[in-house]
Amino acid sequence: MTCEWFRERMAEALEGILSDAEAREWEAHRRTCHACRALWEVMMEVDARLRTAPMAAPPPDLSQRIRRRIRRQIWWERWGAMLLFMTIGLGIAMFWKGTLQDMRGWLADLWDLIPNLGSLFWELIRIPITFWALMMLLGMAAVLAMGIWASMRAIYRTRCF
Amino acid sequence: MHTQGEQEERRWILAAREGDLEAFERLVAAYARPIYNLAYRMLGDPMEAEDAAQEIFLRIYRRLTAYDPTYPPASWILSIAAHYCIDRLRSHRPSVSLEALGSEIAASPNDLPESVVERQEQEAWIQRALSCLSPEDRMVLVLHYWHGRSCEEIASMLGLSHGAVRVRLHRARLRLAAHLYPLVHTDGGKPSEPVPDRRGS
Repeated sequence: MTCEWFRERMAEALEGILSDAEAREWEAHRRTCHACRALWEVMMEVDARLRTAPMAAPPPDLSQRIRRRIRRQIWWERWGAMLLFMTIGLGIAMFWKGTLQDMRGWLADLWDLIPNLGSLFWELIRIPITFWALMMLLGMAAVLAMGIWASMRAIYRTRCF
Repeated sequence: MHTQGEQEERRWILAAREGDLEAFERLVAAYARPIYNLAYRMLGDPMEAEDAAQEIFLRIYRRLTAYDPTYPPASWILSIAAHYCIDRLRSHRPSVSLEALGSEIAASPNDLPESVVERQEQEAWIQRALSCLSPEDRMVLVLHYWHGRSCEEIASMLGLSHGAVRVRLHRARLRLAAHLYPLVHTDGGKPSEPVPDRRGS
């Protein structure tokens, strides 16, 4: 029996889980070794102080403040973010007013191109390789859309009360 | 075997996950004190603890969908709180105001003034001693003594092995003993044989 062994077994002794043989040996050492006995007394005192230390009491309105903060968070996630994006969008629209007005002309030109694009599309899908490439793209788009839908649903469940 | 309280808490979490804010608020009311206590014991400052408690509940709210109903609700909640406090301690060490030490424990109206002073002194000692421990050792000690968690439960909460938790708990107690030793064993004001510091073990 060494002091090192005694000190290593102090946790088990505190919890009362030493075997009978170990407990006898441990007790014998405690009686004969002054330094280990002194340390054991302090360990018992530490254990007693920690066991009797009460839980710290929070301020009386803490629960209320937590509730308010969570409700604020929910409101912000539901409406605040949308308002912010709308404001940013409006700001961009105001800033690029001239460019946006010019876009009307580009859109008109694009509209004229649509019949030509339609006939080009029908010509292209008659070629087998472009047909399969298009089908593959459509499949990927469907998988992506389903993924986005599932993610949005998960986010909504987490954040939206 | 689940207790009735545990079943109820599990129902609150599942209801909150489905959008029932009142169920979440019941959870807040039930856990405000344990979470605040854990944060206060870890961070050592009432203001920090208050802020941390709010952040912890926000984190719990955000992770409602990640809750596994087979896991005990108290362990899940304390685990989130424990990781938050350890992360916070690692990112910035809060200053422990000595004036605040011990003032957090409300005195009972029946307490004699001497026992109030004694309790506050003991409380101040506990907070000073806790601040000497590493965040992980401190957390193991807090979960064991104030929250009544076994080594197995703490191991599962902190993602440590059972043996590592036992070692940390023993090391924490030894360090606290080293802190208390000169106060308990004074021979005519002269400290007796010091406790070996086993920081490296």
